[in-house]
Amino acid sequence: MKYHPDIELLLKYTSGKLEPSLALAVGLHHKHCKICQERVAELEIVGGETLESMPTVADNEDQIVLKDFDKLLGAIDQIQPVATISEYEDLAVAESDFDIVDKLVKQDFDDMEWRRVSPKIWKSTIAMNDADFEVELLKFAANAKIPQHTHEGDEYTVVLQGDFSDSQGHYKAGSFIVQDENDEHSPVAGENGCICLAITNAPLKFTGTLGPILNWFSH
Amino acid sequence: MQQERQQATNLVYWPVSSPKRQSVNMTNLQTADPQAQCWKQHMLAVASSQDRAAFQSLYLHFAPKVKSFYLNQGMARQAEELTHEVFIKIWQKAASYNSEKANVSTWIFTIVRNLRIDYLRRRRLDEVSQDETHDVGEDGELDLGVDLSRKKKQVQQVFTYLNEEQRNVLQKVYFEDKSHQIAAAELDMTPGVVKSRIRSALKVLRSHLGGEDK
Ligand SMILES: [Zn+2]
Repeated sequence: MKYHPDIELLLKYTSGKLEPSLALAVGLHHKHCKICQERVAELEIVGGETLESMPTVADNEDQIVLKDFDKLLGAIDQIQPVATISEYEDLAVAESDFDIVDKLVKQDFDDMEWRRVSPKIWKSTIAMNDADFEVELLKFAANAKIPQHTHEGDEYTVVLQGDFSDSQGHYKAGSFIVQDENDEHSPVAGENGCICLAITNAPLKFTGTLGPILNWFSH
Repeated sequence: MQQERQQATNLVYWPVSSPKRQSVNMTNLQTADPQAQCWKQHMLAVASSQDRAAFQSLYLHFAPKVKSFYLNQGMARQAEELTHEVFIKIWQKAASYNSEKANVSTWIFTIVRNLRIDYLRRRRLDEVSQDETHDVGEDGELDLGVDLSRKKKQVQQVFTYLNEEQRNVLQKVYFEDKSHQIAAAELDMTPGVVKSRIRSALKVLRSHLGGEDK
């Protein structure tokens, strides 16, 4: 079953070790899934325990700590006492990515630039500035058959709107699916179509003056 | 046992100058972990009345740990600034802390984690074309200098499924960002044993952690 991120992926997410694109994908699922909210909360206890187990400074450093505290109080007097709390605070996602999280959670797809790649499929690239991954939205018309494709490395998919099915299951909004390069399947979009976030390993790109030549060799 | 509790609470309630010489004023000692309960009271005091004394106790206890946590992750140059930011957030977000949902240490961990994510993200955006690498030089050395003596902790939910070796390995590799080699050296194991402990720990977690989906 592939509706939730595997526990190892959740551990990396909870400890803040995922690349931004993957954190976005897991974060969207986390926002949506009660089961994974519980799992993440339990794994965060391990984080709290790790924090508690950190060595404490020696007694003679107390004065330094108190000096830092005075500095902190000074700073606190300069700022608003209460910060606005984002509804995405609980996610292990960079605050600078909350805007894109919000767009995807609210299904605000209108001002995205869609490129038509086949009569029933559209794509839109999301610029995450993440060197390791390519992030795209895929939009499928009602009952569209998604052509078989292969890709290098893993592909991570989060269903954002609508649903799709394949021989292994039925994936509704919120589902998190990982496929490796050996997975072959022919998914079909549901009656209302489907919009997914898809994350794949970006092909290695070289920049700089030798870039074009190196890219040519790497193909 | 009685004495242990006494000590634990003596450490923390309403200190004026140092957290170590204060009398106890606890009302709730029934829970499994009185110290954790005590931090909750402090957080609630900060949330409800912007209590600076309570905030100071939290700071004296957690700030050095937060700093060590960042140091352990090879962020020697940022540790101080990030620790400062962590406590600004704690102050500003105190009202959103839910004592029924999480211990204070767990909540602070999420703030520490997210500020680290924010920092790394900012840096990545600054240097999009460059690879994400840890500062091995200066930071790496300091990293090794941190004393890793640990006290035994009260066992909590997730941990009860795992044996001590599995717990230690998970903490080091996932939450302290240690390589298998370094974790192995610190735990006096071979890297191969570290890997197999991780595998067995993940297997246990996979079979026990919440939900119907296996
Ligand atoms: Zn889930």
